[in-house]
Amino acid sequence: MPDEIKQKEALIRVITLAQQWSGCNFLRYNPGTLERRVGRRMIDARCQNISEYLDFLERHPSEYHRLVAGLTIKVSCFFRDPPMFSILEKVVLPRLFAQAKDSGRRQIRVWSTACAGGEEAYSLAILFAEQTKLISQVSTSILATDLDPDALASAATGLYPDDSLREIAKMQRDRFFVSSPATDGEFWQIRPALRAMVDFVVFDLTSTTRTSPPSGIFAEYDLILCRNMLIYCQPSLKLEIIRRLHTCLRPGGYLVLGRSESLPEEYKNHFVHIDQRVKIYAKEE
Amino acid sequence: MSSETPPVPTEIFDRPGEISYAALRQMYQQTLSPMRLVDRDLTIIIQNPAMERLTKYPTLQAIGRKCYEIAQAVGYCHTDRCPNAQIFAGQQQVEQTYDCHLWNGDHFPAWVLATPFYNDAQEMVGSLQVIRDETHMVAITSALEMKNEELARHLQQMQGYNEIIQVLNRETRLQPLATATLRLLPRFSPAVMGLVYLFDETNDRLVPIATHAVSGPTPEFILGDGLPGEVALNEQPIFIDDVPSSYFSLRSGTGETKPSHLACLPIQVADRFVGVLEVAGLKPLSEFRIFLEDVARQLGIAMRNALIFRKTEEQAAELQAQNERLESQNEELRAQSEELIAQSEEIQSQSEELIAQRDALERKTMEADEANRMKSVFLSNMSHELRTPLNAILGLTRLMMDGVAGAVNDQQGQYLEVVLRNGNNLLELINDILDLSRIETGREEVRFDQIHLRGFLESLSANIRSLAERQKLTFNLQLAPEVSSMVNDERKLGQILTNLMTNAIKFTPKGGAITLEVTGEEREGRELLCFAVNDTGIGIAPEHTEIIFEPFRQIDGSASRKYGGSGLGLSICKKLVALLGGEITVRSTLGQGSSFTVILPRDRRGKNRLPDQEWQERLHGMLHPDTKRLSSLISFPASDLARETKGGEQEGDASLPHILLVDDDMISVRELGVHLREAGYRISFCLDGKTGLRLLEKQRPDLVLLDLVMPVMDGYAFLREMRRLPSLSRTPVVILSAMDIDPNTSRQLPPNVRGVLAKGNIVRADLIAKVRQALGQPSPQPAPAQTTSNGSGSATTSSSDDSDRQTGGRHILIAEDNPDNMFFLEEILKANGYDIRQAGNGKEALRIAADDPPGLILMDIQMPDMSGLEAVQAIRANPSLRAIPIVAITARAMKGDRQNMLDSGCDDYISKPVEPDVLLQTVTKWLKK
Ligand SMILES: C[S@@+](CC[C@H](N)C(=O)[O-])C[C@H]1O[C@@H](n2cnc3c(N)ncnc32)[C@H](O)[C@@H]1O
Repeated sequence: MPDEIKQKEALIRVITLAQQWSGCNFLRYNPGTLERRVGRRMIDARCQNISEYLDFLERHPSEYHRLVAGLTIKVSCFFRDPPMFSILEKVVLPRLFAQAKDSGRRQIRVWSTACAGGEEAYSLAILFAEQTKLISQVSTSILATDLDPDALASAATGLYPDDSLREIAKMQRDRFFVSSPATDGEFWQIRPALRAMVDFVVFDLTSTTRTSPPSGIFAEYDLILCRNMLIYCQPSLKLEIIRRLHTCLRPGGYLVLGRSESLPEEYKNHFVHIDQRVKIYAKEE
Repeated sequence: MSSETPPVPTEIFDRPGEISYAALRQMYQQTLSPMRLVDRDLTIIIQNPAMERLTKYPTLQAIGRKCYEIAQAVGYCHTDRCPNAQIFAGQQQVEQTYDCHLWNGDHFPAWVLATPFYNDAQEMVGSLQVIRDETHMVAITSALEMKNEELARHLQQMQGYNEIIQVLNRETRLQPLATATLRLLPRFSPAVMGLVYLFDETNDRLVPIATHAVSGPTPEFILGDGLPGEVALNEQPIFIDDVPSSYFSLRSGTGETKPSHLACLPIQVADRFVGVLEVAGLKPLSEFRIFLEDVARQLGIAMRNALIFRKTEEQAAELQAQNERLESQNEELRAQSEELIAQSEEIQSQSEELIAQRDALERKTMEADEANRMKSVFLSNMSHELRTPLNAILGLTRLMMDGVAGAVNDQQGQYLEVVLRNGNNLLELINDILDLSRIETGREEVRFDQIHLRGFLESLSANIRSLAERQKLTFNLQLAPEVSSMVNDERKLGQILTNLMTNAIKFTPKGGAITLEVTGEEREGRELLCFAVNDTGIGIAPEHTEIIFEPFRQIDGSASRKYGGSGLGLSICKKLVALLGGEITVRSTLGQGSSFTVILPRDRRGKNRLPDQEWQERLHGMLHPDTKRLSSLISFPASDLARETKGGEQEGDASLPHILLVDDDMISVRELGVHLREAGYRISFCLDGKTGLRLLEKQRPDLVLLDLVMPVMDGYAFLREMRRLPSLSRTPVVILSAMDIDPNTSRQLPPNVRGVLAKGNIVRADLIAKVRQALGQPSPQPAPAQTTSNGSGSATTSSSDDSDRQTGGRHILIAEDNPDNMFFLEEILKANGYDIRQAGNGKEALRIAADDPPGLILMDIQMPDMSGLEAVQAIRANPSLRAIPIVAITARAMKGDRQNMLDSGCDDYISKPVEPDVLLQTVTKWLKK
């Protein structure tokens, strides 16, 4: 068998194993990314080629965990895509509070679906915490989920490098973070009050048995963020995820995508694009 | 009229102002107005030369004749309407137009003016008639009218053109704009039907993209072919009248009328050929040539724009996709560079160790890899071929032993038993091989079941115990009290444990003891469960403890002959354990016994809880309201909740229904708390089953909302304990589950469980409806939405609830390609009084089902020609067959594809080898519906 085909098959096998291990539907992610990610694990494991890595994987079950963690990319930072957050703050939040009040609901439910290290979820928490007048009447629940339990563990710890906070004004930074003494000020620690506004739970967006995280009980959210995760998915998977997120939104609720993501054609009619500059969509009422 | 008046010849006037006789006579003679004087008897007295010319009757002869003899007005003469008669009756002036018929048969449209003629005594003695031939005037008028009509038509066409242009301007999509144009044409032209073809440049073809009122197929044309093809080639319009009526047939409205006039025009934009417009009408279309050409021109512009628009959109989409790709690569790069920095240190420390590992690996890989893969592929192909005949052998042997073919004597019975036993062994071997190859080729999927360990292990042990007792062995199950549930693949875990335990029984001599011991353990922050199968059997030599897990290698080839089984059991176990995220190890002393230990994570899905310490802290914060520190920002009633629990008392209006939440997931408790309060309930909660029981006894709530997976005491244990408390066993319970519960377990839930809700799939209304229902409160709205749209919301079990099913006949259609299996199935069903139809492949099944719809279809999934699944899909696509229940017959190894099977449209399945009882049960279940 030509080596190239052999390596291709080994790659598919590695991805299949990662899928079996994690339950996440990796076979429908973009093959290019997966190949490069597996390639990285391969190098870390000191293997010459993928079939060698496959063998390594099968003999070292502890590698599964590292493989799965390594397949996804967890780049993020606070207030990433500032224009989007600005419109969230100025337009969306006031509307959400108004909607809740009009319909007599006492809680706004927010879901950050691929929260990586928690930066996105805490950024939201900061926006909500700033609405001091409103938040006393309507409470918020921010659920942040991700596939990777390690990322969530670090999100729960809440320690961030200086660089990650670059979009936060100094005043705000000092209100919500404390400089971590153990690190010579290179890291910042989330203050407990902010930490307590967000819950972190593992949830796989490719799950077909649950449309939303079981912990949250209800598939009914006012605001859902799904940013920079769909870029890794093949169109059919992307469509499937959007379909589920759509059912999880209350009519009139908002969906936020990453800067270079957009709604699939099939869903353009189900949402109103509220501002052409950013990827915020309101579900039709 | 003053001094400027030109001089008048004096002989005109006798006296100034009095015209002379000569002048008068000249005027009479010369005038071009035909005049005649008629007396009261209508006799012509005199006529002037102009009248002589008009009537072509010499004046001398005309005098004395009756006026109507020379020029008569049909319908006027001899009636009151006769102009002369009207004058004699006293009219001062009569003016008329009529058709004037001359004595010689000529006739012309005439204008007549009559006035009275007096004698000197001022008595009216006659009538003076002026008659004018109006022929030229009529011609002018009718020419004018024609002109008018033409103008009107032009206007209409302009309007049509205008309207079409408007539509074309509004629409940017190709097909709709072509269709809209065709639809408008009949309003402004005789074109009642038509087609628009688009020129496909890459294939040189005309492709119909829109039709109006055309029935029947609309073929594509190549250049030069057919009328459209000819127009495309010459780029000149063609108009044809009186086409053979079969050319087009009209789809609707006008019934059988066939339009017999055709026009076919090229659609062009500035020399570029875009397509063809073909229309047909009931009247000739050539008069509308200009109009149609204009329309075609506009259509061309619009179509070209639409094409450009489409292309732009495609490009935009492509750009978008590229953008996303770029972004993801960007992220990747950033992630990689960040990680690289972090890892470079780590890598260094690992490198030496890893290099050593690599050398060893390299050698092994090369050898094993290729051989292994080939083997797996070969095996899975083989096994199907092997099992099909074997299934037939086993099935028929069983039937024979049951006396279906007549009584069997003792000796025959013994023979048959041997056949059956050996057959079963062979089947087991094949199945094992297949299992192994399935796992190796990655086709086995892991399900996440919530396993209630006591129930699961007890039902597993029941079989083992009776097997052990038959061998005079004792069997013991020891379950540590702290372990009660886990999340993993229940079927596979069962397979592993059964395998280990039957092995133990096999290798342990009479009088020995087998135990299954289950304990919990924590290692590196991970919760683990250990399943140890211990025996007092022959044991394994230390040098063999590795080999026993390897497939196709046995310590001693004779073992399998002596102890039965395929010898593959342990290899399968090992692979399965790895798949379930664990390890298997063995400890053994030769001659004294062995102990196989399987270690599995308590939750196969990985760590989905926060680190324990973190969790503890948060719980603490919620349970003790004075530690406000953590919850200062959330204005959430956690503190109230906590107070209730702490004191064991619930506060709030005591008349409100009281609900106890038993769930270890704080987030769930909070979400439920907030919304149930809002809906008017009193809430208390606790985080494990033990506390739950205490609260239950103390507070006597009206309803319990129960989670299943919890530490200390899980939901199953809670339910069991609840039944022991007579006064509480009736308290209604609604289960909230994070995972789907398998139908078997849900059937065993006690009767006070009023429903199961799927966490994460429901909406608030579902919860409230279920709670009200469980509390016996009337529901406020007639039918609250039960589930979210993905459908798996609150239903406990799925699928089989199809009350709208309508079955056809009561007979059963079997689709099976293997005649022996067919014979076997038929024997069983016929013996039970069913009427059978047979099909040898999917196609045939489809045909037979369509001819005479059966009440049920049994479908073998692996068949030649059209596979079973394809046939199922075809049946489901056929409206008249859609409702027929289909039961798939599958190879055992495909069991894992259960969901696949149900998704593909089967209602149920049974696996081979088919057990007669199962077959009959399934058949009655589905035929009854
Ligand atoms: C690039 S980060 C996005 C972080 C953040 N949303 C942002 O835009 O800054 C992508 C995240 O998606 C997560 N992810 C990938 N596949 C997932 C899945 N199937 N379910 C949930 N999360 C997933 C990864 O673990 C990773 O944390």
